[in-house]
Amino acid sequence: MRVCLLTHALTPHEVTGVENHTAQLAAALARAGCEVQVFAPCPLEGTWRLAQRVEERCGYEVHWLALGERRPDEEGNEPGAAEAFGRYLDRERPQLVHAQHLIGLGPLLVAEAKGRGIPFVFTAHDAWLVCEEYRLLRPDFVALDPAETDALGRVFLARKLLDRLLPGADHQGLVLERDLNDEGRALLADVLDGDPRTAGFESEEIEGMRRRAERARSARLEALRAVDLVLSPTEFLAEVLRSGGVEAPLEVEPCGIDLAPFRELERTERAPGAPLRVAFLGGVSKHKGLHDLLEAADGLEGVALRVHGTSSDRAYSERCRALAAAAGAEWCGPFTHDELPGILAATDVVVVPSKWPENAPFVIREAFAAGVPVIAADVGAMRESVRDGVDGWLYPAGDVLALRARLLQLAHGEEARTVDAPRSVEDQAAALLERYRGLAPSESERPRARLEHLEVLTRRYEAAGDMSWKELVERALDGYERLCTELSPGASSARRLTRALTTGSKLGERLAEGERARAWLGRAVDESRRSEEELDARARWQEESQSALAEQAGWLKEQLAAREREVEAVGAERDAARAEREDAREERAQVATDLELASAEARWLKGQVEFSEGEVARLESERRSAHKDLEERTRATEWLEGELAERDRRLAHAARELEDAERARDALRKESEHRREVGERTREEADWRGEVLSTREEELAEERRRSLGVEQELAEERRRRLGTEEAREHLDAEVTWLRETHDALRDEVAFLRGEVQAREEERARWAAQMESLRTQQERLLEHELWLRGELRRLLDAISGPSEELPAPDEVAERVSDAVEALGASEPEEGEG
Amino acid sequence: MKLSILIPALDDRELLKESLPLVLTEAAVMGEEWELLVIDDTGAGALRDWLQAEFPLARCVERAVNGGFAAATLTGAEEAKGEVLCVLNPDVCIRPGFFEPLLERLEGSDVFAVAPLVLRDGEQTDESLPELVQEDGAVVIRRAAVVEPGAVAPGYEEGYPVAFALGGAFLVRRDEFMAQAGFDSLFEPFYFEDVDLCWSAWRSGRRVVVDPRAVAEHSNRGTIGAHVPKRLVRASIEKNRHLFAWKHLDGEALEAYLDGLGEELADAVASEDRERITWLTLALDQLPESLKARRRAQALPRDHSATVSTLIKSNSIRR
Repeated sequence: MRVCLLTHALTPHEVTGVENHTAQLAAALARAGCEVQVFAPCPLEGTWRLAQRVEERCGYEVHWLALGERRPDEEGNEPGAAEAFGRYLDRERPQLVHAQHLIGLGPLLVAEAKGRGIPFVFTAHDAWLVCEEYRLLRPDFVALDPAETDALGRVFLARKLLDRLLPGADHQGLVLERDLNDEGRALLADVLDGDPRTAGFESEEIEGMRRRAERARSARLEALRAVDLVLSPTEFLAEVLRSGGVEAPLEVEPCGIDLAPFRELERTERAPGAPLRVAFLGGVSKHKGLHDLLEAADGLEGVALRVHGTSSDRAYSERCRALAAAAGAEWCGPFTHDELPGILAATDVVVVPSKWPENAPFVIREAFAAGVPVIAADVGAMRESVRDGVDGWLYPAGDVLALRARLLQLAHGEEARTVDAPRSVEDQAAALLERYRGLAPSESERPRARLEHLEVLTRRYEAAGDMSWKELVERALDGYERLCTELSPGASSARRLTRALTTGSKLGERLAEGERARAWLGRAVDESRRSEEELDARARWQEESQSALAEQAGWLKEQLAAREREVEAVGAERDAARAEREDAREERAQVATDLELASAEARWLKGQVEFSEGEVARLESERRSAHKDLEERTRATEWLEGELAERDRRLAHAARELEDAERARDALRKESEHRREVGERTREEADWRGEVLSTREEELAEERRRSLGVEQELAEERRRRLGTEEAREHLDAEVTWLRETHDALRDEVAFLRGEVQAREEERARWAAQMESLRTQQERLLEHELWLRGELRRLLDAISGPSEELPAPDEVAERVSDAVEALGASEPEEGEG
Repeated sequence: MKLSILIPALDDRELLKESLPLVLTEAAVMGEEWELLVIDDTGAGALRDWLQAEFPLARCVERAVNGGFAAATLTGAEEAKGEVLCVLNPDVCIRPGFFEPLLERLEGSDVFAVAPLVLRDGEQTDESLPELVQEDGAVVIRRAAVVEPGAVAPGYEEGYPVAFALGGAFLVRRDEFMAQAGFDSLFEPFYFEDVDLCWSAWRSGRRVVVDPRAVAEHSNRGTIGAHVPKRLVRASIEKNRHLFAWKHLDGEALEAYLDGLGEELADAVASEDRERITWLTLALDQLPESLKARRRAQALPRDHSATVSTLIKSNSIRR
């Protein structure tokens, strides 16, 4: 498979992360069997702009496009770059393009590949795809939302303002607070957050910048739509791209590094008591945060900081250099990739103090490959690279004190536990090849037009594509010759081609231009030769003058020697005095420096102590508060337990009361039966029972009130203690049981009242019957008396008055006899 | 039957859904004097049932194999019953009052083909009033002028003479079209076949005109652009540009072309421009057929009268 790795820059012209990675990836893909070409821009270096040259490297080719200084248009497209890439694609016919970065080239290159039906993969190493300000930082280091084109337009304005405020300074779109005076800071704030007109910008310019930001963003997103696959090395960046508007298929594919240089690495371990060897490696730019590290390491004992790197931000670089000198750090300057393993072998910890949302810095992987832990600012996707406390440490980005504290801890013994080897570039290449195969069919599976009438042309076109360059050109030239012969035998093709090369053809113009350039160079060479001769003549004259001067100098030297001897004696005395004074001064300076260092250290330690004391006081206060809270909770728990026990006791008492009530009710039942037999005593008994029952009712009402109270307490308990659900259910059950018991008792009372009522009614009936019987009895007694009177009278009439009254039976006999004797004489009605 | 409307199509249902109702509405004013033939060039009978259901007034003519625009148009012409053929692409939408002026213009015996004013997004392009010119010897199509749509300016009552009528929207007599077996197969698979047809007519003393009273909108959303890689489309255009020159150019224009080709070749070799060389080799593959076509063209009754020489000489040679 023929793959083109497309990148904005490549080693050796640029040596930062993506450029090194692209070179490593190209070599790894080549080792995996790919035919790899890297298409990358290079400086002009004596060639024509947009000229293309091929360089053979180990296993792959680099197709250089000479661009020189770039001036991309507002949409980020470098004029002529896309067309040049198109020419490269037509010439080399790669089956897939995998872009690593397009900054300085432009999104139009995507269309060149897609227009030719070539699958396009894009690995995003930062947020450039969704925001021209790929660091996602405003000049004042505030985060920038890629979807906010208004904010980006303000960033463009702010850069113009900085050009104005810092003339000659290479601010690179970021400014530290101390770089501006109060007025400058106020103007910058107006441009970024307020009304940019106060900083002298016209409304049209403000609107123009906003529109430019929109156009730049739309151009990128439009180009991206055609991309077949976007790869992000981290989840963090993938999310930034998604939220930034990337709609193309997007997957995470971590980057690997070439582990070979680190495999045989012999580390020089830190000697006991030796200072901690700390290294910063990479670009010396504001967003990389070196100044934070230098500030944190300033005056730290037991820490030896070395700064390896270079910068195009000259002003910042110089400031950092001065800071490094003041902090006692060693400024090592630029380094090559080959030197990196050696640097890391003598490093105990690497610091990555970035200020911008980093994606996946290669320096972290390289440090891990060398077994070196990393201290990283917790920003962007750093968490995905460094496991805090495992293979390194994270600290809040920009928190110099936290970084300083970490360095101090490490200087005094703390060590990382595990530093695993990072992913290898071979592993990444194998994964990428799988993806490539899914996107680009192999040579034999090349897509053919589905339309049958296109097959002939497609076949012939592909056949031409398979021809070597030489074969194709020969075929064209032969054909041209035949054509000329057939159509215009008068002028041969050779004559026409000669004419083409010598007259005003494009090639002729190009050649003529070349000739002109050569002539100019010739003139320049002649001129420089002339200058050289002049310089030689001047040098000869200078040599002669020098020899005359040397003679003069000899004489003067002798004179001087005599004077020197004279002075020597005086000088010896003076030197002795000066040496003494110098020693004293040095000693004083050393003491002053020591004092200053000690004072700074003391101040810092004091600050640390105060901070720690504050922390301890705060923790103590929190502990007391927690303890108090615990006690309150314990008390509340105990009270609630007591309440529960009390309720249990009351419930037991209520149960006993109810049992008593039941027993009383049974006794009452018996009593009631007994009362039924003894009517008169029933009412008293009923009254008594009524009283007992009303007492029971009152007790029940009281119990119900207590139940209500229990319910309220239960609700309270529910709010306070969520975990007492079972107890609540148990109490609810008891309340329910009490309610049921109460209802049963109420029914029972009602039943007994009915019984009492019935007994009273029965008693009343009995009383009425007894009254009636008494009346009858009295009447009977009266009647008996009357009858006795009548009998006496009859007896007296019959047998004469007698002293004694005969017995009743005897009287009855006598009466019967008398009645029979009387015959039909009937007594008057109503008298009986 | 007066008019047969031919629409060669692939599985372009979405386009036909837009264009056919307009065609049917415009054709309706001609009573029974028309027919609509949609030539299904899919080779798979993809359109018959759909047309039957959606546009029963359209007759579906199926090709057994996919043959391309030229072959499909010829199939349609063979099946057509009308005296006049109106060839339309599926992505061409006609505007009201389309047929009448074009049919009227074709009544002139010297007119071989007539085309509407073709717009894209309402704008006039190289397709609207095309002329042929030579740039560095190569034959290129340029817009001759801009005219007012829907009107005929004084002096152009006979229509605007154009180098060719766009194949995607033109009218021609059926018998004349069939007499030369439709488009020349030399130009397969596509592009320049319409230029060749009309240029041959000009060489025979006939005229090709645009009548701006008839207007059509060409959205260029046809199947070729959607299904064929752009570089293959470009290769076909450039190959046929060469073949057209080989078939038709003579004299000074031919010399200019051959010189320009020499320069082009030298420049492409020097700048390693593989594509340009490929286009030439694709054309050279067809050199024998193109020479035969050239001989046929030269054998036609020729009329290098003022019209042709004006079109070629005044416009074309810019070196």
